[in-house]
Amino acid sequence: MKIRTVGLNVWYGESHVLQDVNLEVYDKRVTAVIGPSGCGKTTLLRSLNRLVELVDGARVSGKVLLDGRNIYDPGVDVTEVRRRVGMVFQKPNPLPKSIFENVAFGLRIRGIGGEELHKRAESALRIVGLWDDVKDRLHEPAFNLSVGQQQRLCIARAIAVEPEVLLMDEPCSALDPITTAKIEELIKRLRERYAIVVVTHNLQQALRISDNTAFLYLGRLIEFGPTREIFENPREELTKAYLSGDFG
Amino acid sequence: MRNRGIPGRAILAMSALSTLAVLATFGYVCYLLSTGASALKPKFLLSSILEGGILEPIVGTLYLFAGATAIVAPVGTLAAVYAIEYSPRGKLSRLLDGALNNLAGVPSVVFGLFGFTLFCKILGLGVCLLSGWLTLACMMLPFMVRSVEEVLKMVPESVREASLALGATKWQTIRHVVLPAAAPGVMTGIVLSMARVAGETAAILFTACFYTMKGLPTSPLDPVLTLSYYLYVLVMYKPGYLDPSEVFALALVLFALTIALTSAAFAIRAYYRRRWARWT
Repeated sequence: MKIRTVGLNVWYGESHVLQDVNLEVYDKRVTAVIGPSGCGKTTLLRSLNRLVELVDGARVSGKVLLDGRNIYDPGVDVTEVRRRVGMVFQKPNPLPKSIFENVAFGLRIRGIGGEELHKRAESALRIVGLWDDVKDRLHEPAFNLSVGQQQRLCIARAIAVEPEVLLMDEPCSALDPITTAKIEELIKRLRERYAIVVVTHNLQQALRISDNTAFLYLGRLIEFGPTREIFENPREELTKAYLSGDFG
Repeated sequence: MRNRGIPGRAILAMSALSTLAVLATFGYVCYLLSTGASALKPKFLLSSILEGGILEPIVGTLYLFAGATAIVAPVGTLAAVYAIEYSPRGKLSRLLDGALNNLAGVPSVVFGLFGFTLFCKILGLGVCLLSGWLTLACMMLPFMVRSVEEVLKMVPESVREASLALGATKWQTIRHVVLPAAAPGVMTGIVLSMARVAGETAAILFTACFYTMKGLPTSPLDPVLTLSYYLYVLVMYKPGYLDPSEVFALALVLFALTIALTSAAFAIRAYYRRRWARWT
């Protein structure tokens, strides 16, 4: 087990957005988080790398154990947590820099340069299947890439710092079906190296790519288990109703 | 036909008169400046005031702007970074906000008085280039801070998150991601605040300028002669010293400088807004 949340609660001011969530994330597995809009999926994801703390008035209680150590413990270096737990966002958000510098950024801030920097940036771009498309224009602005390429660049950027966990917040929601298929293919390949948590709106996608599924409703984790079981034999009435499209 | 009563006609007549007044004023200004244009020769621009040129005021103006800008650019940028990135709702930021709003409305002669009291007298710098820099920097500060604040707000939150999610610290994010993205805004701020003080006379009247100066300043503690101040001196104390067309040529140089700075600021800002529009 890579990550375990124990009694995780998150408040934004007065509103209690996550209530007693106990989730398990396994290494070399894809965990899908599903649920209707506003149920706390993104908040759950962001509490796994402490990005949730950027929100004004956000408060977290409970534990998020990364390899057994609570990432919210006072002595923990938040930058190291975020290096180990990478993130890909809903909308591609390349840095306002060149293609190469986007991938290099996470390495540069850790003092990695020269040969090593180039090697690792190239390898990250190869893994996401972008290298052949961009190798001749590494110094163009990242915004010149198509949206799908930008998202793959963001994935390359995240894996260049060699994280252990990859959080993906609806990584395909801004993409067309063909590009979505490419990203899903990529997620399946990345699964061999990382623990992956994917938030998705798309139930079919959860079924296609994930090993485990967590169903979240109004800030509570209603059901968690192997994806097949959740989809074929949900234990909870609420899960059944959601999967059959009674609400969304 | 609409029925225009007496009040209607009066308003119509007044509008027509106002329009005429504006056009006449504008036309006269253009006429005066065009008489100046005829005197605008390389020799006039490049020879010393002792030979009837305006070399010292031109160079002095540049010295004054360059120094004031070098002071206000880093100070204003850092103040804006603090207000936007570190403490958007903090007490200090609110205080800064109020201070800036008030500073922007203070008449320049009051800045001059302030600078004279603080820099020339209390700090004992005397009437010199350095006092002028500091006084102008105070005047420019609101414009500088506002411009940088504006672009910092334009940098999307998603870009900051991208950097933080990679494990960058807050300062690394500001230093390597936010500030480079906001660089054109810093440029706009510089040009805009320079435009604000380009024709400034009152603020430097007591703080930086002596007419009796000899040659160009050799250190920041020497007084300086600027275009606006020289114009003031010529009109007030030396009527008939230069022929009127040369006074207007001087005014024209000052005018062109101000227009150039303002248009540069607008151009940079427009370019920058377009770029961000594509981004988000």
